[in-house]
Amino acid sequence: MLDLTALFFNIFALLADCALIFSNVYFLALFSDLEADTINPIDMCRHLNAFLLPEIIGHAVLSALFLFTGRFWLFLLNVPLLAWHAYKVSTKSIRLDATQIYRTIGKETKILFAKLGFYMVCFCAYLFYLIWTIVDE
Amino acid sequence: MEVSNIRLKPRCDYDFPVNYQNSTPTQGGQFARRVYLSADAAYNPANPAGTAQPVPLQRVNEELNNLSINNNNNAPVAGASPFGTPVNGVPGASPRLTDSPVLRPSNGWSAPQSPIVSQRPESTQNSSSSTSNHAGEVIPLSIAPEVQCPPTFLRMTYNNIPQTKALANKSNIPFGCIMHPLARPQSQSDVIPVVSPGLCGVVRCRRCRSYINPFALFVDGGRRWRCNFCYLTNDVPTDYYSPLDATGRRTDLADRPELQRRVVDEASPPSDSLPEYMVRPPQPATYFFLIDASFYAISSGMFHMTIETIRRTLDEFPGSPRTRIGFITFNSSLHFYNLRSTLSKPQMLVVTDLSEVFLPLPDDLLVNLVDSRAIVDTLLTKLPSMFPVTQNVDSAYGMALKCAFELIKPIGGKIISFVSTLPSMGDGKLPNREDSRIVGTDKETILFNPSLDDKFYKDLAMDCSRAQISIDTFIFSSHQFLDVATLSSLSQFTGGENYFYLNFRSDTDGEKLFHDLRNNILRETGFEAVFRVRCSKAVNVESQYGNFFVRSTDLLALPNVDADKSYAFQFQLVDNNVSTKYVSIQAALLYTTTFGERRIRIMTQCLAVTNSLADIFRSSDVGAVTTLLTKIAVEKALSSKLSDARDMLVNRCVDILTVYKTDLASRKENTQLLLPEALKLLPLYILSVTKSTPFRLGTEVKPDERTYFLNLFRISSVQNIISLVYPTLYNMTNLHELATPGTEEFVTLPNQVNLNSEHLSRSGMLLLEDSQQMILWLGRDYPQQNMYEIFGIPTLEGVDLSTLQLPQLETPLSVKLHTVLNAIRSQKSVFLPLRIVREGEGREYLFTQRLVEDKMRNSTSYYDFLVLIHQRIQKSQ
Repeated sequence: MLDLTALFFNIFALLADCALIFSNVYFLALFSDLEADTINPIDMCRHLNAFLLPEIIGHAVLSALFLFTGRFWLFLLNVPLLAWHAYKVSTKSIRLDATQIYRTIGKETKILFAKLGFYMVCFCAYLFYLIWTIVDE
Repeated sequence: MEVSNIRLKPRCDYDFPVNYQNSTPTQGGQFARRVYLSADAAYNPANPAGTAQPVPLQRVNEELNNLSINNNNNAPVAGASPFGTPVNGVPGASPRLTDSPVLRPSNGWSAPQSPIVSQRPESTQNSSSSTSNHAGEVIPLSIAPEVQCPPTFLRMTYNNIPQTKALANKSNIPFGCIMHPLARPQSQSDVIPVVSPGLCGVVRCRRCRSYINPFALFVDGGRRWRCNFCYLTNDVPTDYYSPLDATGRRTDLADRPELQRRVVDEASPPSDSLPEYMVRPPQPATYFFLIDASFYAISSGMFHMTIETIRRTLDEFPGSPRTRIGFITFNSSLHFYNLRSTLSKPQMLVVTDLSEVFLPLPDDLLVNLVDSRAIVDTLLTKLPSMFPVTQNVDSAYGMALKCAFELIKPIGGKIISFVSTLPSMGDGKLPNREDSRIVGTDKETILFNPSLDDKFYKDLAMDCSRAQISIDTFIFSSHQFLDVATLSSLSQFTGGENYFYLNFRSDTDGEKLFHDLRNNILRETGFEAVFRVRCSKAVNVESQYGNFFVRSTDLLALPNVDADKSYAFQFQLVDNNVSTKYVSIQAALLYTTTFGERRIRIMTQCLAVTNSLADIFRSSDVGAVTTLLTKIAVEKALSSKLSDARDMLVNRCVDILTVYKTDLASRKENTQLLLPEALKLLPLYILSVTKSTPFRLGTEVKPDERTYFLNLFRISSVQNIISLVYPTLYNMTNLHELATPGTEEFVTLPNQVNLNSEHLSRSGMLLLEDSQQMILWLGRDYPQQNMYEIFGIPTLEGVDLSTLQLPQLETPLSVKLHTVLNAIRSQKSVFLPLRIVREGEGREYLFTQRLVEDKMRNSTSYYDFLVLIHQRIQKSQ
């Protein structure tokens, strides 16, 4: 019974990570639209800002679940991004600023790519963990 | 309320032509300056291109022609060197520039060199073979070499294009330009011709969308033209066709200003034929006033003065008969005014519920000025008495803004708001975030930036920008923190402007408010504008500075654009090596005039590519370099801290001079401080910028004031910035000897002197002008007789000078003084209030802190600064 919960939890973590990956891909698509001048920066920022906080909360909840269910290695894996998000929240710089967007576009895209890479690594780790749980059983 | 001594006549600069010329420097080493009050008298038909400052410009051109490229040791300024043959002899004495006795050109811009000069040899060579179709060989053909790009509109930091990135970086001079698209004409050559489009519309390149300009090359017998930006050969529209003459010029050149002038206005074709220039019919000129009616606004007299000014200006509002106007006053509640033309008297509607936007009568709050002229007049006459002194200290400014926005959203236009209290109710409420502990420290930067918690003002600014609304904010402070930074974000992103009055009192500052507001309403204004800069492939825009919203990579959205706004651009090279001989830069401003015509102002500059560092130094323009560096420093101050901005300025100056010395000096072992001829004033200007109000060290400048000046620097033109940091000082001691002022034809201005205390004498009188104000300084022992002639009293002992008005007397000295003051004022776009200070009096610091060549608390003298720079150059070699 306990193992089944663990299995479901691992699958849930995997799916949550997929959602984070997709949201990041979507952000990147918005940025490329902006560069191609097919979207207005005001609309683009309003759109994006609506998703940024949920993303941070989602990631924080997932990490907290790892901690409380005793998966310390997975939690530790997530600490760097948690720290980055905590920094963004503490400096009140989560929201993208439409007035500055063209100046920061390069930097923001790099950050998004880095985050995407990070989520990919997480995806592999969660997958490995899932398989390991099954095999171990 | 005292308004009797206010001049109601529009000042000359509204209809432009005040021409002034330099007389040649006299032996005494000082400029006498003449201000011609009649444009025709000064206009010299023999030299139509450079009337603004013909003498120096010609001289520079001759110098440039005589210099060969190898002759790169172009005259280090011996006089400026503290280590060369000292001019003044005494160490410690302020260094003087011997060959330029008055340190700056008299009208604020140092004659920028025409790129044509350096192009001329090549263009004459190529003009015969110009029809050979090598890509990249497009040369300025149809433009006469003597035609200059008026520096009033566009000034490059240097009038060459570096061939390689390495060269561009090496010079350390920022590569960019300052554009002033709707600048007031300063001379006959600045009057912009309006081209009405033919049946074919505005001729543009079909690939890069650039506009036809003097540098486009007509080929194939005039049937096709080659774009000078992307080198695409376009067909000439049938209506635009003209055969070419033997030299390859179009035969109709004389009738085509767009092929001859670098700055033209194209009237856009009617919308039904070519809708690309408008998405809706041109909007009427729309003005909406938001006036604070809280305690401080009423008690300081600001409310009454504002109302009175608007009332007196009603007849002159631009855009008649389509002009629209509306009013909201606010304190803890909002007051709307029903101005329907059929009413016999205006109705006031008070809204106290601030929970949501509620517009009582959406149709009658914004009315046509012509239809409702009488009722608007009645309202403005009655308003002051409707608001007697109140105890209401609250302000629902945010809500008032929202209502105004909703009202004019369908049209667009201008919201002019008057704020004297920190918004304290409803949306847009701002906390007082001033913290005396961080003032004067590096953390102060957060007070220069909009509050991080604020979403209201920035979001509203975005909405306004989209709805073509611009917001101008007049801020009146009573020594209380008003969060200028957050309030000004409204203006910054909507192309508006801020005005700031510290400790406003209607008896002393009323006149300035009157003229500022009038100028704001009456100056040339363009509505629903967009501004785009196109460059040849080799170059692109790296960053932009000014009040605007960047709508797409290279498109600036400007809901309003006017004669006082300038925009700076920094360029970068795209390729490592520029393969073409010329690079073109074209700025196009699409706007609606106040009378509802859609126009495109096109400014084109074509510059020669060079691989010589000497060319870059020789063709640089110290005014533009200083201005661009200042604008970069403003961004630096906002993004990091003030001390970083100051360091950046000084470091850039040292870097530029180091490169000049190591690479261009003729004798490497030379231990003198060498200054490039064109940039010999750079150290002085850089020092002045670091000592100017926003960048000054210390805590005596309030955060609000600093923020205001940082914003002002962001939008100011070259002329204004130079004047703000290095004011003009006139020696008025011998005013009575001044020749024939008061005659109709011209006024001779007193001698200009350097900004140091050498000229202060106990019996002297000096006048300082910095394009914001004038300060009259009187020595302790200024002759009683003169004092009596000017002020009507023998001594100013015991008189409160902060409220003293200069009386208008019939005595010769008073007449002369007023003539001089008026002549100076007539050259400026903003009204210059006069402040009077006496030697030894408490307010004297207002004057002495502007003497930038002197040593002050926390800062070095010009001499010490040059020593410092010299040491750093020596060290870095």
